[in-house]
Amino acid sequence: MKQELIGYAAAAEIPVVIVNVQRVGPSTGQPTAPSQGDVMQARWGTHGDHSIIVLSPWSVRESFDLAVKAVNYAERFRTPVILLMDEIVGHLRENVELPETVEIYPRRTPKITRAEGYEPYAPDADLVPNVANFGEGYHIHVTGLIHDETGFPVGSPKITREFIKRMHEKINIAADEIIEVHEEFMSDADYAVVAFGGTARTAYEAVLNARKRGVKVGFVRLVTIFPFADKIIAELAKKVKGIVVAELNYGQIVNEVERAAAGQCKVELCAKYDMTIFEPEEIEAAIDEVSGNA
Amino acid sequence: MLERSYEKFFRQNRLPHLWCPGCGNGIVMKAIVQAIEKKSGWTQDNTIIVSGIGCSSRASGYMDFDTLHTAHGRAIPFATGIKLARPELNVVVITGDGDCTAIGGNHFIHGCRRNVDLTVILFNNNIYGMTGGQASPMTPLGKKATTAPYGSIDRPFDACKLAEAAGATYVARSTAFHVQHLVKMIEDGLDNAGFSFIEALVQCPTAYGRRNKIGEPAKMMAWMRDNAVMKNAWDKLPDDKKVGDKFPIGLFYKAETETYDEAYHHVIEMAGGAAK
Repeated sequence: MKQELIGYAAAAEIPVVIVNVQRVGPSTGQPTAPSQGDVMQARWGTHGDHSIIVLSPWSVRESFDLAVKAVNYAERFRTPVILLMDEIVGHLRENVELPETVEIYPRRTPKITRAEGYEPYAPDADLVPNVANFGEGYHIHVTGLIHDETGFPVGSPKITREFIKRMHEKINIAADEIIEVHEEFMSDADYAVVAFGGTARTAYEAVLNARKRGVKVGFVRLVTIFPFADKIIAELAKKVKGIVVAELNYGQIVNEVERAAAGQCKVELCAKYDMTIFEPEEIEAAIDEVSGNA
Repeated sequence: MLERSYEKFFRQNRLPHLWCPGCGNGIVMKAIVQAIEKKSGWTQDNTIIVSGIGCSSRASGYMDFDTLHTAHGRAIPFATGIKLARPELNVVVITGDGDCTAIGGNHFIHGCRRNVDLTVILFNNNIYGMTGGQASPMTPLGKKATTAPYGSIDRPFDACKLAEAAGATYVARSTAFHVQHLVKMIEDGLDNAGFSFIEALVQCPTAYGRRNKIGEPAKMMAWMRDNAVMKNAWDKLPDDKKVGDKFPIGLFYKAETETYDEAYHHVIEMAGGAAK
């Protein structure tokens, strides 16, 4: 519901941060039990071929840090950013020390005047436009219709193609910078567990437990969910013999991992969708399965 | 010849408009800028035009202000956001009967309830024009639409009564025929601090008039002339005369109470934030 406005923000290039604390669905589902079933909704949850940034924290402090980062990305790329949390992290209580100040990406502003030919949707070098604020005399027009650099709608195939391409490419060209992955125990790893959000906390313990038993398994946590860490997963797949993807759903991010791994190693899904969180043993069993220790 | 002083309010390079020949939307759009022109302190730099989706809402693209063409039914929440973030700006909303009272119905009543300082002008053409003539919540009973080939059985909203009941502090109606009156109704709406609602009847010869055999645009406007009754006269009419197509126009309701943006800024002050 209301996801049409995510698309509006993508098309009109309005900075916005949306926090989604996932719970069991579909529909009213199991309120308010944990789930990670909205991964693909976060990516594609509005109609149309849009770009998006999705970040997923695993702790209270990181929820704070990624919220700041989300606001900054929204301003810098003039795009919707989704802070994809889950009930586990959403209801977490931890002692945190918060910084006195945070880094703020300043609101983009016009570099030239109206008289000099300012156009609100003309892209800067980073493909992102410097859209003026309202009430500053620029008389801009903002619309969800596909528009040219003036901001006014045009029914042109060429403009439509260029518009959709720029919307994707402004994120793609900065993807290496946006994509953040937290890796541990990877230097000698033969296997890896890929997880995100609250599930990554359980996966971390499962990795520690398996390590104690001598299994050379590493931990890979996706902090940035989208744009997806294609290159990092491709490298990982070359390095290890098998990957376990642990997620609290019927299998969503696993498809992205499989695509990026491109058959270079085994990718096994460790899925759970019964309104309860993972136990470390469940993920450990999946590690044993993929590593042949079962 | 009359001075065409209103022309500066339009983006000449965006005209001509996309409305059908004989459409009443242009009359109301012009009435809005004529009302704005009369307001001292309201300029093209400090006035924001927000619209929804549909024929009416294309008006924002022709008007030389900062303009926001939003999503279907959502003009009022977008406008509320602007007013809360930038209370010094004047915010005018352009919407249609389908946009405002169907998908936007909830936003409409809650905008009224909160008394946000907006002026909302509803272009009522009694139909979804842009999508080809589906019945809207303001299609009169018995009138035909593509979705009501035997005549609409859905009882229509009286948007003015709805606005008043929901808490709007200025409620008026006029028509595309009564241009001077329409400008006055809008002007007084702009003067009101709070949620002002003006319903402007417009003729849609293409999607509504033709299907209902009401005839050409001029006949539709003659119908407005013949059936609209000024509020004072309407109130004196006995009930047996308030029949057929007769309907009242004029100022229906006015009240003074704290606006939502004032209340919101008190909250900001209480919470230790920056004062207005």
